[in-house]
Amino acid sequence: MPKIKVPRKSTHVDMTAMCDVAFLLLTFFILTAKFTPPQIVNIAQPTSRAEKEVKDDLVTFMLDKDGKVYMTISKPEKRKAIVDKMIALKPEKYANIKLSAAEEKELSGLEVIGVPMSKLKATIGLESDKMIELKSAGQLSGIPSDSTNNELADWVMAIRHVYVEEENLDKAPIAIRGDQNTNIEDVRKLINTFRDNDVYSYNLITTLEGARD
Amino acid sequence: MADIDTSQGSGNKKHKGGVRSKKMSTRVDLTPMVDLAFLLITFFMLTTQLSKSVAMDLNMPKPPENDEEKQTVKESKVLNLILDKDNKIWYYNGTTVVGLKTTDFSPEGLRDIIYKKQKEVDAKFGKDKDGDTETIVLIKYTKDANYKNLVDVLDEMDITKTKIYSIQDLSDIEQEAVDNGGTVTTFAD
Repeated sequence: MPKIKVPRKSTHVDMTAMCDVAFLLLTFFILTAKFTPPQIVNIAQPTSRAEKEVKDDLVTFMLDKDGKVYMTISKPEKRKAIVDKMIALKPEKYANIKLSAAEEKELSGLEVIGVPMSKLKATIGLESDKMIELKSAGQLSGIPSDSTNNELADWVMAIRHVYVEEENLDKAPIAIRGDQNTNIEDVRKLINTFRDNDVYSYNLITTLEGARD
Repeated sequence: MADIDTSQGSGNKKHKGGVRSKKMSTRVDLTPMVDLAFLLITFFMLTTQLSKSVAMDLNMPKPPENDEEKQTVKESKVLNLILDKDNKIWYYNGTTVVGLKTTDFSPEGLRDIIYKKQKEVDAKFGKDKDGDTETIVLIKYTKDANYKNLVDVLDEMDITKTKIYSIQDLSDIEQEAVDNGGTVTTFAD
């Protein structure tokens, strides 16, 4: 009797379909990915259920986990106005900070302010990756806020003047972006600085709850 | 590889003479390509920031200019929360620092306590003209609390629709109570 030959089926799996799906997903993720620009100050925001959108014209005070304060003025054209105002309000303290015309122009490109005024000149015109380098080298020490040199209060005062007195807004668009692990006392210190400068209402920037931070 | 080699080896094959060129399969093995694609997918999924930043309103009261402006509140409306390290919250009712209990940020913890307090206050005083509860929550903190705790508490205020709350400094007696694990040994008048 002849042997019955069992036809051997190939175990080759067609990967084409899987490949299609994979690349489809890949395309989707590439197209929807919004790369966050390299953060000069690393902040892990806490989450909340708040749903209000973040306004585009904000002055954000960033508090890192060591309690250092950095500042971002989101509208570039406001940066010069605020620095000018600060010098005008406290001439005895800041009159020696003379910015050249070129530097004043470059001021609008200064994303993060995180140095004492005396060192501000050195950070003008730096690219953000240069700033990150400075940060990791410990050169960005934050805005001084101790009682002997409270530049933070002067900034808040200048900001309030620019927005409330010159633009007649009801309140300065100020926000706090703190790290989850920032000590609450540092937050309180910032809030008290706001209070001392008649800023009572502001935003806390958080990540939407449920979303990955 | 997506397939398993099932060939029986050349031993069984019978050559019928002559050199035959081996027929190459036109099938391309896509396995490495799939591997690569999924690797990239994983990368993009992990680096994509799908979450958006949102803003939370915080309105602090203006400090009273004189004593007359200071509000006096009914003691029974007040719930005190003290934020402590490790996401712990101490709470007590009224203004006398007594009977401190702890809770946490879970929905069964803090939220239930606030709702319970609101119910008590509503039963006693009714709602205000806007239909909101008159419960007053005082938020205090020890030096070990962090910013996340504050945001979480403010979030709870929003969820429980508590309109009157304030962030205050911890008093010495409260600090002592927290240090002693909830009991006070010295009593103020």
